[in-house]
Amino acid sequence: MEQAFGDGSYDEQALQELTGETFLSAVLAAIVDPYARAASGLTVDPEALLLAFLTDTCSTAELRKLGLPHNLTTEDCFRLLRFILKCQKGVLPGKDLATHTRLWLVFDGAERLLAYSPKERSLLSNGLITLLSFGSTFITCWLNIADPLLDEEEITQIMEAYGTKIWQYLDYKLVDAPEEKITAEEIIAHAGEE
Amino acid sequence: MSFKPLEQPAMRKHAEEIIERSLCTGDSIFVLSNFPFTVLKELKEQVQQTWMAGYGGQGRPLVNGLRGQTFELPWADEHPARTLWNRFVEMVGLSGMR
Repeated sequence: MEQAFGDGSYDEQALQELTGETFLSAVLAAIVDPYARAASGLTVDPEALLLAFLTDTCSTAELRKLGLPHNLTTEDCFRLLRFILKCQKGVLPGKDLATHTRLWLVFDGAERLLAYSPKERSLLSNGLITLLSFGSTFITCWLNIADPLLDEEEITQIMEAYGTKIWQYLDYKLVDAPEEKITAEEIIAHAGEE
Repeated sequence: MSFKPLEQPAMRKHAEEIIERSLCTGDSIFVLSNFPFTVLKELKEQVQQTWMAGYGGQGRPLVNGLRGQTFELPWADEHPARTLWNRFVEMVGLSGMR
């Protein structure tokens, strides 16, 4: 994050300009320096408390100790990830290669979405849209189907499970259904040979 | 945009071409694929080399390079969307986010 601002100068206002809101900029500021925002006289390590905040939930008292108003929703998590990735990429405007890092993001096992509940499908698909919509430069993002045995119909089902919005960001569809589907018996026989 | 399904070797070649093109413009690309993971890894290494060598041979070495992150989508029984975020936090840690 420090690198993202070029000369290393950033403050909460810079983070607020980046996120466009106070809550996420406060979380980012806490990530940058958990000790600066934490209440004085803490008996708990602010870093440990912040990790609990990021990966679980905190009680009201713990939130107060961190100087944060509420817990993260899943949507907040993806927005936060979007800004962290943006910082990793470099926040300076323009396409000056010297001030940017190229991000290579792989989301593997795309077909697992088929087993998700409708709510989880929507949360994840919208989360990916949040990540994809944050900038037009320096990102290569793969949504990769890990199962090589899926046919075209099944691949269509997977795409439908993601909804329609995400595909407006799609630049290339590099999927290829196998010419011959391997049967379960062949897989078992092959596994026995190894 | 290209939505035409391609044969495996041609698909790989096509992937190399579009990645190289995106490197030259700095543009972002979003790709749906069903490559074996090893192929994705090879492509990433190839991009890394091209990028570090100076932007497609333009002779300008890039100090920032390429930063790769791989997220395996969680299984259905573990609050997948939230788990994906938690995996990121576990992967990079607080210091990695700074």
